[in-house]
Amino acid sequence: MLLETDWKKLFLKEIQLPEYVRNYSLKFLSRHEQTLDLTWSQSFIVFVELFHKNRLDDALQVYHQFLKRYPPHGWLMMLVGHIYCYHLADYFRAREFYRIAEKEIPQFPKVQMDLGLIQMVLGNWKSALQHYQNVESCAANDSANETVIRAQALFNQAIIFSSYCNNGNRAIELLQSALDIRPDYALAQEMLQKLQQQFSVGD
Amino acid sequence: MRLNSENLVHTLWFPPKVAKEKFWLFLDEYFVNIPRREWGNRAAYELLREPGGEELVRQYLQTYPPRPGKTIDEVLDDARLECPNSRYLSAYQKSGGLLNLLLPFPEEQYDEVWNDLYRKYFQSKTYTSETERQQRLREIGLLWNDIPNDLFSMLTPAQVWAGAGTLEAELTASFLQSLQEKFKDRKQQNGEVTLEAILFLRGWQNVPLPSYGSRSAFEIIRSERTQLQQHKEKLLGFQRPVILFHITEEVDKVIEMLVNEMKSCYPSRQIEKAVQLWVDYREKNYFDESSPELWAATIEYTINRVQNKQVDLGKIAAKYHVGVAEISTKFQTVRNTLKLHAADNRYDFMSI
Repeated sequence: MLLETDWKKLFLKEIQLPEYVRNYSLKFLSRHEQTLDLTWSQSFIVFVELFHKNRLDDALQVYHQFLKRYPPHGWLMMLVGHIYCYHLADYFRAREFYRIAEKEIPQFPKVQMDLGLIQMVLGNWKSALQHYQNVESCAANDSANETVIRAQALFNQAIIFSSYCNNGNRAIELLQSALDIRPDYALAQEMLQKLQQQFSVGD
Repeated sequence: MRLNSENLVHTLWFPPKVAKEKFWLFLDEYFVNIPRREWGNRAAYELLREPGGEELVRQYLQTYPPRPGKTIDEVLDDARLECPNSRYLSAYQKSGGLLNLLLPFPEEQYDEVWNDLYRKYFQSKTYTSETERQQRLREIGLLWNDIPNDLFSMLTPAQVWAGAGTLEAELTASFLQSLQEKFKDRKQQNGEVTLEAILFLRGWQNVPLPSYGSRSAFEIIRSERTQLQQHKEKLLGFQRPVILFHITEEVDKVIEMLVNEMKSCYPSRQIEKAVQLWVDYREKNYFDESSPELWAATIEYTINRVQNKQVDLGKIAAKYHVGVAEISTKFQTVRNTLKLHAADNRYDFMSI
């Protein structure tokens, strides 16, 4: 049987987090030791399970019913933002959650990537570009997933430069950088080829 | 594809459900702005400000009734122009036209532009009276009206308030046709499809359109809405004051002179851009404080050059009682210091 005091142990045992977020979480847990409790831990675990099973409406309900009243955990805020953005197409709400996540875990590339996407959706290229550039300065982590994100951030910057800033040369440089870190990136290869052809025709 | 057919709304497929509601709203807003031959090429919003105009619009609506759920009185209320004493708050309830069709309705709490202005220029200041407080609130509201806002797909609230015109309606018909073709096999409505459709719109809105002089849909829409906004504000006799606190707290003689000399012939946003240009120069380079009139004349000349406007240097020189050659010399200095170029975004009064 779980004791009320086991909430921290339970959270750390059940929730699998990337290293950077785990370190953040340890600080978060000690910062809010007086406020967090077993209900928080259990609800967090249920939320993550539902999220991974793609039961996103149920996950959101758990957030609003239980987790909302606790201090905002950066990674949780990112997941809630993800639901509003990708599932409910409510980009304004999504951005609010990502902004909180950005404050809490500023070095986590996925947050910057998704904020970049939202700003693209809202037509704000300058701000989107800034977020994609932020991905490059996020804490280095050589996990495969982050390599994908970094390459994608460079690819998205290339799209902005070629489509909205009319700067094909910069786009080519960015695509080459994306391919340096992820040589099998098919979309980047395809776009690079197109741009290079376009430029050689122009010459 | 024609936009004013009720059947069209029922047959079109929209990725998010809210888009259908917004599309109805868009058609209502568009109705108000279309000039009609039988009204002497005037639109409903113009007619309603003339004696007997309401009766004409009413008669028209009796022949061509509004959409289901909308009464004639509601259409007339929409068509009446509100006086822009402060913020165009109604922008939050408008459709925002084609560029905003696939987005949810905006709410003030998510408005980062407003929240920034409020924090920076309102909350941080202490007030000696309630009148002063209200005045500042009104002024930041007026500033907000003119700032491109990502809550409205980078239109300004004033452009959203103005509504859509004929060109935007044409572009909307064309875009919706492309959307139907591209997504014809994807009839479900979910977040993924919506995201894809919006990114499709964002790409589409930026492509130069040969049949519109190679301007993009975004440029066309923005410019048409600005014209409508200016025309509506003129009808209301509204002239936005020059607001300086967001540019500088240090109003020197050059700024005083610029505002005084420019206010009778330039819109206030353009005067603010001229002041911005001066403040940027002042921060970067030494200037001779003994000749404010020469600097003011130079800045007025420069802002016109930057904004690609025809300008008579001789007239400006005469207005400020300085020499043409002196202005030319200072112009070179300002241009080099700020690395100015034609249609420079920093000083284009369409942007902020």
